[in-house]
Amino acid sequence: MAILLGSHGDRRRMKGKPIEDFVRRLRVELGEGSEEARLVSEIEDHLADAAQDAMARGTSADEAWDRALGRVGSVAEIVASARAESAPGPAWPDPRLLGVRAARFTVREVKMIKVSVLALALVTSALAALVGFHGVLFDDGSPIWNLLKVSASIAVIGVGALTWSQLGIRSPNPVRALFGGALFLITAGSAGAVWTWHLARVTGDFEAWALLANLLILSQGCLTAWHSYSRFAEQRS
Amino acid sequence: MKGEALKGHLDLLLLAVVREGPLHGYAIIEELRRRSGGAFDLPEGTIYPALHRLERSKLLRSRWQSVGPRRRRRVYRLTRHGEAAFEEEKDQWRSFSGAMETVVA
Repeated sequence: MAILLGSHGDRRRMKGKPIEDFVRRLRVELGEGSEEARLVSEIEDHLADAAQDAMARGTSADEAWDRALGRVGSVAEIVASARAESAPGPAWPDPRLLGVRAARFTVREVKMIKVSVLALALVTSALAALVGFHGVLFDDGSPIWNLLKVSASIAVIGVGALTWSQLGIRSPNPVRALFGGALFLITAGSAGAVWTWHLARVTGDFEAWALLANLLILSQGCLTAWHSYSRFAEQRS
Repeated sequence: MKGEALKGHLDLLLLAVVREGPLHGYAIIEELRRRSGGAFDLPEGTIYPALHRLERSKLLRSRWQSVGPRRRRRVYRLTRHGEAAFEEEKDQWRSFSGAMETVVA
């Protein structure tokens, strides 16, 4: 029914109606595309290898091809597997892609990070409240500058409240909004720290407290992002 | 053991086999069968989409390799991320199987 023949192509070709039918149906069902073509090509190779192996063990050619075909699965099974495996994954990147070892953190370490995040959220929220309050009542800067400070303060307090609602009270699964909040804190903290440093260099007026506050915000952002991500990694696994 | 029971562990099994060294698809499946004493019984053609997915996830990489004058095979090997993912999944599997054993035994 089927024999293995050398060809001018890259691999041996199979001769035999059932095999040819199988491969043709697989090609049709999978559709066009380089990924699909590669799959068909590998399945062909697989059939050839399996048949060759069986023949080397003394099985007749017909029997060897029958067995190979029987073990490779039906066209429907392979197509279903290809569809399932190519389905889009979650919107978040796979932690393994980033080489993140988040899921290897011990329970105690995760708890320590969580406590640190909650403590930092309290401290930065309090500082933000002070800065915002000061901006509204006492600051003699431009209205736009004051508005910016107050808005940033409200945002920091908002992220602090979200942090407490997700990690401190409701626990245990982080929401994406918290991850977004963490990114905001990282951006705002970095920008604030750089701005403070820049002002110190230009004006000679170094506001250590402002630098410290921004570094705390940055730390909170980094730890919150890490914690959210490690929880996400856990959920995925 | 049938496919449904294996599906959740297929990544770990494939990574474990490829970890030993570069292998083509047929050899991976044969090695899986050999190591499991024939217990893992999946339709062989369904393994390839899983290998492709692992490659898309950068856990494996593959390339065509010539075998003799007129033939070539797709050979898979583990990446650095694949190695890390294998260790991670192995740890999780050990915790899980240990806990199962404790409960079921």
